[in-house]
Amino acid sequence: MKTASLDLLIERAGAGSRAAMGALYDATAPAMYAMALAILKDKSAAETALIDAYGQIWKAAPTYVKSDSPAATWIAMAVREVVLAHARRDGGRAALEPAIAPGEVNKTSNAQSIYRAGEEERLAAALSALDDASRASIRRAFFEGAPYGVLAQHLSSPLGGVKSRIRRGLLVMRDRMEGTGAADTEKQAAQ
Amino acid sequence: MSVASEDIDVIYAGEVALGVLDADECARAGARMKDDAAFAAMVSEWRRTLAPLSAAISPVAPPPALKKRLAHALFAGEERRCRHDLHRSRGLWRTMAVTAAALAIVAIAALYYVVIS
Repeated sequence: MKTASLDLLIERAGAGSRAAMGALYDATAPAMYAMALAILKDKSAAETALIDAYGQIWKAAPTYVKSDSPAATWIAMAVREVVLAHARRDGGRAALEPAIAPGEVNKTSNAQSIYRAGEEERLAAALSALDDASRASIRRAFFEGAPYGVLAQHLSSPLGGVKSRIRRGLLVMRDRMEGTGAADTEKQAAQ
Repeated sequence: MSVASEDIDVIYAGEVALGVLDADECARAGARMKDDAAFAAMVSEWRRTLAPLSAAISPVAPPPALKKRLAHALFAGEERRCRHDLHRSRGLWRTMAVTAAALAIVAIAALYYVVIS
């Protein structure tokens, strides 16, 4: 399923099409289920979170504005927020073990990705500007969705070190993204 | 590391989006997002930026039954409403059919009356 049709599916779902909602689920659920599993580490909890998340997507679909964020990003943002909220509600239970073995985090082929190439490239460019330790910490933080304290345990690193690596990394990413963001705005203005 | 106050907000917003804050801090950040639109926009921007990272995890097919559970959760209430509508429209069709039959009888009676006289 290509991203162009994800836009259309969200719009149709927003207009009340159950078939479009079903197709949207089929196209995105495997990626979203993987993310929910990585953070919640429990199949049943991940399934419950996904039902909640797609329920919110169904409700929010009429308000979807294509220009604000690309479809796949919009869906991933919505699902991740619900999954993180579920993780926090579960308390520390989900945080007991590391989310995923580091080997499982890999760069999937573009054929499997629901994102537009540009979105991933922009992020990859920003991440590539980081030192290895900051990049690894930020990626790990994203996949675990766990608070600093838990993250430090999993990384077997002092809390202060983990915090400063992530904060330093975020600052470098922001500077890098601001550059490309300005270029995007210029491009849009030229169109 | 000395950081400008504007940068502190950007970092804080990034921490919210990454999900690295503990529950109390997260609640405080949530309250600030309600009052401070600029800060809320920063958090949204970080969420947008980071979302494609999900692509680095290999997809996992959810159990097939999950789609049925979802459909039930989303549409069960609407299903009742639709059936209700269907009942009403069935009633309407019945009324129309009875009316049409009655009209036909009247028309035949009138025709018969005209032919006889």
